[in-house]
Amino acid sequence: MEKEFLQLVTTHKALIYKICHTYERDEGLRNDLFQEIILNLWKAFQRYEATSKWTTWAYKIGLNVAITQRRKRRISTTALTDDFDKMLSDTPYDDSVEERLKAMHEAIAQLNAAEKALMLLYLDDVSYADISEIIGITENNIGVKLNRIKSKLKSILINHG
Amino acid sequence: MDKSNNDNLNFDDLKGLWQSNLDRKAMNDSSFDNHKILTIMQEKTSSAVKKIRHNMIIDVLITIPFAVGGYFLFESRSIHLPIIFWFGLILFSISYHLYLYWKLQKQVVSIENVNETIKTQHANLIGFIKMYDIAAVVGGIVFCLTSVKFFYINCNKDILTLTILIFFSLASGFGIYAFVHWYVKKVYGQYYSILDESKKILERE
Repeated sequence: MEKEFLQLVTTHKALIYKICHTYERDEGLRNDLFQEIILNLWKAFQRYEATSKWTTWAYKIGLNVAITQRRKRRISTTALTDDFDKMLSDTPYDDSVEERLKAMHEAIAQLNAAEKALMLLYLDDVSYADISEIIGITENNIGVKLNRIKSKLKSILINHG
Repeated sequence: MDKSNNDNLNFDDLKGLWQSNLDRKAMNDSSFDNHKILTIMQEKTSSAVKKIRHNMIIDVLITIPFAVGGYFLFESRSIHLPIIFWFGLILFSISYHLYLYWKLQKQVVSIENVNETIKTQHANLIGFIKMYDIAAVVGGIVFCLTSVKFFYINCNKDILTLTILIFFSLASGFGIYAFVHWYVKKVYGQYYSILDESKKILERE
């Protein structure tokens, strides 16, 4: 069972990595979140039945942990910028792309926890049917909420432009 | 990013860049070392539960001086009824903390959807905050009544002295309430805001 779990985590490490980076910018808190997600996935894995996709199941647990487990927030805007710089420092893109990605990350960091979850799933190209199963809202409602979030992100970007 | 760039901001274009950037970073991240993951899997308690345990220990440590102080204050004045209330309150508070901690330790990981999990956590947190609020109100009232009774027995009964003493008692009672209220808001306020805001966003049509 351990081997199977390790295999799944390794195959889908990007999923866990994306949740951690979307919810925590501070390295220490991100490590805490990473540990909590792995531990919770492992505990739940012992009761996992392959009735739903592993990614959908893992997203549910990962996002539940990220949103509902209380950690002390001690992030400043400077720390955020530094962290994004570090994260993008070896990005093989040109300056304008790097700048756009960095600005988007900073704007996403200002969203509410539920909005972050929706945006993360949208950016990761998860289907509306799966988003509906993970978040627990109707598919029609997802489109409406995503449009609101995109408008909010645009206004954050403009205000901080 | 300047305004013209924002006007043309296309999230669908950024999707691919965002994915490839984070996928590549994940591939090179040292956290996914099998040995590290195995170590985490052997942990019995997550860091979140450890932090809650830490807060609970602080809560209990704060409660103990109140219990001891209250006992000596009431006992030395032979005020028996408030002692019963006071110790009932302290016993309830400590038992509730122990129960909550036990519940957290046994907590099964939520595999419900995010919306359901937020609703459950929100309801649990409201219950916990209400418990503190009730404790704050009862603590404040007990302290206020005890002070009034104590001063009434021990002081001159002229109008001015009694007015000052009643005012002082009310202020002390309110002080107890305000302290507990402030403490709960400081410890759980941010978490409550996150859950409340998320719940409202997901409920909105």
